[in-house]
Amino acid sequence: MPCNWKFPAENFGGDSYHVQWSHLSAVTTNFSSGAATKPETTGSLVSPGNGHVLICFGPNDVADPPTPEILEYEKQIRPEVEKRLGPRLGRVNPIVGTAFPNFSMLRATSRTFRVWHPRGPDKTEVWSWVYTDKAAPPHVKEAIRLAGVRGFSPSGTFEQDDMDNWQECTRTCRGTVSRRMSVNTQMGLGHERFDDELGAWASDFRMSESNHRQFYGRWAQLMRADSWADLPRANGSGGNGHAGHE
Amino acid sequence: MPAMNEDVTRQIEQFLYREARLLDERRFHEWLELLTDDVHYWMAGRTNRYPKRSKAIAILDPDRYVEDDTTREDELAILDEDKQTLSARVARLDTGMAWAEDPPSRTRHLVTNIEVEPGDAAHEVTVHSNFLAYRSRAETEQDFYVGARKDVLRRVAGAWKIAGRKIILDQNVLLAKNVSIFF
Repeated sequence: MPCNWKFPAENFGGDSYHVQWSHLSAVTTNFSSGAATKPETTGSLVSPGNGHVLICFGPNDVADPPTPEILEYEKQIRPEVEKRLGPRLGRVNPIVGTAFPNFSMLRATSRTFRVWHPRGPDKTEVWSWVYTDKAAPPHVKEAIRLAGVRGFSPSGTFEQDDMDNWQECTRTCRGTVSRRMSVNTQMGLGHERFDDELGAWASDFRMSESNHRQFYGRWAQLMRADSWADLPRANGSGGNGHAGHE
Repeated sequence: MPAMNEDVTRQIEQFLYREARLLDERRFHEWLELLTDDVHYWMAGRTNRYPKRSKAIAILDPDRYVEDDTTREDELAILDEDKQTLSARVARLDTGMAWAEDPPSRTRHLVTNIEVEPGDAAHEVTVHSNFLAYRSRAETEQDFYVGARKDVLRRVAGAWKIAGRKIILDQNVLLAKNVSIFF
């Protein structure tokens, strides 16, 4: 793809506010549940530090691929999921995220893992997998496979539009005027806090650039450091006593 | 291989050329009408594989080694569609918010090497063809999608319809940023 690798990585980890504009065409033609575009959906952007970033919905917001087989299966396994995850399940409902720097995962709309390989300036090669529960019956696995092909793949009704965004963001950043300025990632500034129960930074509202600040903050630390020893162990927001854990 | 009636071969050629023109003129609703309700429309992926006889590698279990470099039907694909999802893809293009195609791609489908063979069922034929789909977009973007198709065409109420299409693209890593056009 003709883009810088950081755009897809950032997109999967923090760009909760692009769905309503970039993907409304796929939402209204039923390629997703549409949870992200519903005003009643709750959630938060969560970062445990070191640049890792997750977009989370509220515990009861459903964003599974909108196929009856998958929804039915998720309902069936819910008691076991609750048993295995315990109270954590009610605390955090991650639907998409990036393990810093370039490994992303998605649960909503499709089930996929990604690696964004930098292939030189403005070039990214994508490796993509669809994952399913090993124990799921064949018809559920098939439904998840097809949700992957149809939602998040080169032809995916969501992802083909994302690629245009990543390409155009990269192009815009190359502009003479853009290069004179810093990128503005102020959305929701001051409306995030360290959540002791989660052990992570969390935004107050589900639209925010708090995760962008975490992701690029960590990236900037890495780019500035001369050695691993020079690298701060805290996350990019700095100054928080809780953020030193690995 | 029994020889096909020349009239049928000619009909199929004209059918495929007309289909290509409908796609290039973005007449997608008319294109959908060329597909049967039970159509399977599939673009496989390609892997890099050594042939079994290759001396470059040691194949530990030759019985399990798959030489075919196209992805299987139960694996990931670039497209794996039925009539309903193709219709939904066209409906998405109509929303005015499908940004990968807004502004739209300029496409040119060149269809060649058409071979028509008897099909598995009466009223059906198997059709092989090669294609080159050129896509130009925005100012200077361009992509070439080159490959082969194996179609099942069925005679329905006096007209040919596409009941199956397997599309083989001749690339391992897809070099275009996306696949937002039809083939």
